[in-house]
Amino acid sequence: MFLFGGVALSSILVALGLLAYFLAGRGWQNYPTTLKGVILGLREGEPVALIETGLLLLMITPVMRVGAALAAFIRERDSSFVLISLYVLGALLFSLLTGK
Amino acid sequence: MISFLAGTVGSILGLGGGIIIIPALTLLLGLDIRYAIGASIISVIATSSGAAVACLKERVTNIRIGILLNTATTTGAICGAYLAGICPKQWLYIIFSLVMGYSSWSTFKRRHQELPGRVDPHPLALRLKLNGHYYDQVLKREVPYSVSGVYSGLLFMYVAGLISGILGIGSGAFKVLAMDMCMRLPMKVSTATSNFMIGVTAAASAGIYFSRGDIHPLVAAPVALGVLAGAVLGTKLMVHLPRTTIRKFFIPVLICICVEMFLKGVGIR
Repeated sequence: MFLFGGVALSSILVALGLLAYFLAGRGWQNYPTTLKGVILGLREGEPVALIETGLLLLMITPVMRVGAALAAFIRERDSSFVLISLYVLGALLFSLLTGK
Repeated sequence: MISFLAGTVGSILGLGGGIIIIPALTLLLGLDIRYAIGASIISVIATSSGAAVACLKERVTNIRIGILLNTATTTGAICGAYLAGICPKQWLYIIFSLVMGYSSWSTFKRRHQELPGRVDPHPLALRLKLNGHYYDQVLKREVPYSVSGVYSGLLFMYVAGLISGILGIGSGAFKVLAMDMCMRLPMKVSTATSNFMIGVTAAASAGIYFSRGDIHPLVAAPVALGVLAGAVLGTKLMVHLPRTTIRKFFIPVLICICVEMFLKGVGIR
């Protein structure tokens, strides 16, 4: 359910941003590449920042799925799979945080 | 349009659709390869999550197998990212295309097989309760399956992760093959589970691409929307298709990738 919500919200944000961008009628422009930049852009009502928020939301949906699986395994007290999904989550966070 | 098509085909076959997106953006629209790869990463995730939205309630995806194998793919992807600077790319392309060539041949040989015959379950598969069953809408019955070759499957997944880390592709085709050949899973379970896995693997590298500025919002946004719509449709179609059709669909795709990789390897393209 949360997955459906995430995907739906993300595509709505992307579509709205795209629409706003075309209505504003500006050409090729720079776009933020950091989370901070995206949030700043959102505050200024930049259509591009809106698109990027949607894309970022889409990007974290797989991470949320692993998290959901982890929660299910904890509920089932399945210790080997709790460890396995913790490992996957850890590897994901490691590569997200350390960058290249 | 192209993104919609890529999403449909991608989710039926359990690939990311990047195979279609990258050449389409660079060759047809003349975009920088950087942005094409960035958009392709987004499309991989969109295929994965879009398919998941349509698929989870059908209970074809085996999350346990997916998570277990993801330990190998993410490890491989991280190692691949570090290896990328050391290993000559040409060799990788050639090795990859040879492996793909062999696999497409063996898939071709088994093209008429609806279900994998009797499979002796691996002891580890029993212990981790990997075996499962799903309701097949074509055969109109529950299909139970067991899992063999857990270790060779893990090894293949590590290599798949390594390849996607080095070359920046989803390598979903490779994942489906590993589940099909080593672990002898039914084709539908392999493609659905691969759909889950490619999203997780792509999410690992998406952050890096994003901070490098390779994900251009104006390129990625239409791609994401198209692929999402396509993926939902593709998954709906997939459950209603007979497996032999999926297999026949899969082989030409494999051969194309294989030839493309080989040409890159010998330096023609």
